[in-house]
Amino acid sequence: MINDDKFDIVIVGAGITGSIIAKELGNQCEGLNILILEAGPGKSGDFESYQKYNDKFYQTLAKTPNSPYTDPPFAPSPSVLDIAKIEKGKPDTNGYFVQNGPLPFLSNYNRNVGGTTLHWLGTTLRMCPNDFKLKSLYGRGVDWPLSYQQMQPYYRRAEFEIGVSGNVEEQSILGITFKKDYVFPMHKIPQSYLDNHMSEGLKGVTFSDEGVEYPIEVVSTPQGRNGMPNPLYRNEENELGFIPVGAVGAPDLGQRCEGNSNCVAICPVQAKYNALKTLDAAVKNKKNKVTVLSKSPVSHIEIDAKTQKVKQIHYKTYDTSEDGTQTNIESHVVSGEIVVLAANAIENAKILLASDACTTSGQVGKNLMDHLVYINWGLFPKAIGAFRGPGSTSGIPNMRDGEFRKNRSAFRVEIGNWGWTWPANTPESTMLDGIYAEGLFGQELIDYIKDQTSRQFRIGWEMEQLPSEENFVSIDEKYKDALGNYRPVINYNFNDYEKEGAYIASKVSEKIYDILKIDVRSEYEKSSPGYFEYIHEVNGKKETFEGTFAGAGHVVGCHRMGTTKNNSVVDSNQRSHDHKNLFVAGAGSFPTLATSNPTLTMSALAFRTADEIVNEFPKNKSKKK
Amino acid sequence: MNESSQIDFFYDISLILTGYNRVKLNGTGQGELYFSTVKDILGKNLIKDFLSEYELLKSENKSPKALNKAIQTELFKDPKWGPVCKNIIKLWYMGKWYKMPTLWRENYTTSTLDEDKIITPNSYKEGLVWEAVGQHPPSAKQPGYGTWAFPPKN
Repeated sequence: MINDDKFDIVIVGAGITGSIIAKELGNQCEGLNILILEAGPGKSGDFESYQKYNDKFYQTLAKTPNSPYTDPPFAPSPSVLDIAKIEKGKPDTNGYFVQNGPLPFLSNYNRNVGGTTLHWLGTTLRMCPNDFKLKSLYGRGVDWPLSYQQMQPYYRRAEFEIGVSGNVEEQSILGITFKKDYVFPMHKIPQSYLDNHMSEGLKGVTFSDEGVEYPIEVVSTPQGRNGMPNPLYRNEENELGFIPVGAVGAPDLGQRCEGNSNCVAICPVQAKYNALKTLDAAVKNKKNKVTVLSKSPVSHIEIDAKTQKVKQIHYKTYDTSEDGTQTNIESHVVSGEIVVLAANAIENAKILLASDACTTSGQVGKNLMDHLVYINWGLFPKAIGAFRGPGSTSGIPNMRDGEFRKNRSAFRVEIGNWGWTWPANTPESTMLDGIYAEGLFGQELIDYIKDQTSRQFRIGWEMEQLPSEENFVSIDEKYKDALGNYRPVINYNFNDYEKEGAYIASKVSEKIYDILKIDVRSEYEKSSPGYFEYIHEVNGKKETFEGTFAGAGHVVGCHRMGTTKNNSVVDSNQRSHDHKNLFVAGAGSFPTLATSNPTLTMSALAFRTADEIVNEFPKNKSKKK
Repeated sequence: MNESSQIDFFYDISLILTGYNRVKLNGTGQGELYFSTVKDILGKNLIKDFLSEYELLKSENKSPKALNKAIQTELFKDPKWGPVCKNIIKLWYMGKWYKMPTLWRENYTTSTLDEDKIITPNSYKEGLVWEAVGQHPPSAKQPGYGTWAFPPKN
């Protein structure tokens, strides 16, 4: 409960974007009264409630990304278990999403305090410079209203906040540059035995595409995961070195990644960054007042007809009795000088649509995007140590950019460290095969499981999905949740640009499998929700290529940023063109998906937005920064 | 076999079905819990019959090899006892009780406890499938920073 109904800043969503903005305002200002409204349950400050997530993970049957967390009907989260093939003309309404198709949107997010960073993998790649200029360089999608150069200082701040482990030299590819003498806060996370084995086997190997040779080089991936601090690191703002941040409420835990091999669904010790850390710091900074209200989903915002500013924010609270039989629901209204929607791309769009806000561009809800992951898998001839370490410690990044982007998707490549867990739910399925298909028990069963699993290899090729008119979020009176708030209605499809990308990926893949003598075991079933067939011409002959796309959990688009109020919802500071006191922030602002996982760029944008908001409160600006 | 010695026979047949020795099985700390799980779902009579079948085979087959063979043909492949054997393996390996096959349920049990479930958070952590894989269960028994770079033990 809160007594005030007027705040300086109201932030909707206690995920990474909202938390960074709140913390940064706290760092730069004094005396601000900030409210954060979070739809889902959860606490920011204690480890006890996090421990409940851990226990839930251990005991849950289907260990999906959202499985450790709470999922009340009053603020439901989408689940990967609800993703199914869609019958023509029959929307799939089984889950939280209403999926109109023709294909289902394949990803989920998390509505709890801490947001989807509770289950993110932790990949913190920067975008490459050409990612910002897809239209002008390759005639596809749109350009960003920002350049890599402009983003650099924000990337550095985001890398400090998240605590990135990486190696600058190895990341200085694809035109990505760093400030002179820059190092990441921590040394790179050791690459897995598998990474090193592949690296050696693929030395000097290239792939030829459209007359260009691309090196198939295994490179470490920067990660938001505690490793060994780099003593050379100096934070630009305060000249301090980097000290790893442990678990919230149990700071001795999670100082270093311990190899729990469970970044998704939950790092049990919080060695992997999550937004609870940033939120906790924001709340504890007493120069300002930061109040977090959980279980408080926003239904809509109210626009003043005259000023076109956000006048009020409408939200409901739900409180369920301990025995679960009764829920007390109340409606509330608050106002803020500045309002920030930071509730996830789809949720932001949903709130704007429900509020009839930001209508000029007609872009709200449009261009929903996700990396489409073409996965394949096989068996190495010898043990490569699967099922150990962070989910991925390396990739093959050199095909993230090239002239080919005129014709097909660029992709980043993620090498998996957890065997066939993702595509085939091993080792459980291996055990079941051993018992049922092979009729084994005792030592023979042990030998079978050992032999199969220790050689398992999985690789993911993440296609950059283009912004497309066909992919959008809308709302419909017919579909509401238990509080009466709208559920997202999604229209979604893949196009040939991405399928052609997957086809080329399959060719690179074949080469890798061949050189490393990996026995192909991938199977693409017509019944899979992401199954596709792609008929295209190869050397003048028609050929059918089939595969399956999985979602990457990268929910991007729906309120794109741009240069004018006619072509975009927000400007490059994530300020709404239509409503001057409204910011709509997060990966939803990305005009294109790019070839990096979105979290780092989303965090960098949050810093940029925080700076812009600070300028709105000149009287509150701290004397010393 | 009296009721108090049943658990010893349960451990005994578990050794053969899982392939792990008594020290390993004891080390999980889950044996009593698993035995009571099986007993509660099968009921007093069925568990007794099952373990008695095993006791008989054990007395008839003195060499481990012969006993293994006998368990395979008389229990593991048997329509009545096969699903029980398989569930005992899965219990030790995954810490999870899998709902029995429909046909078996129709014939042998009406227990409402016969549902898919992971027995306790610790059962998950003690799943012997990870021992077979040669690695730790995800989110538990973490091997330490950087260990994933070491060559796998064979």
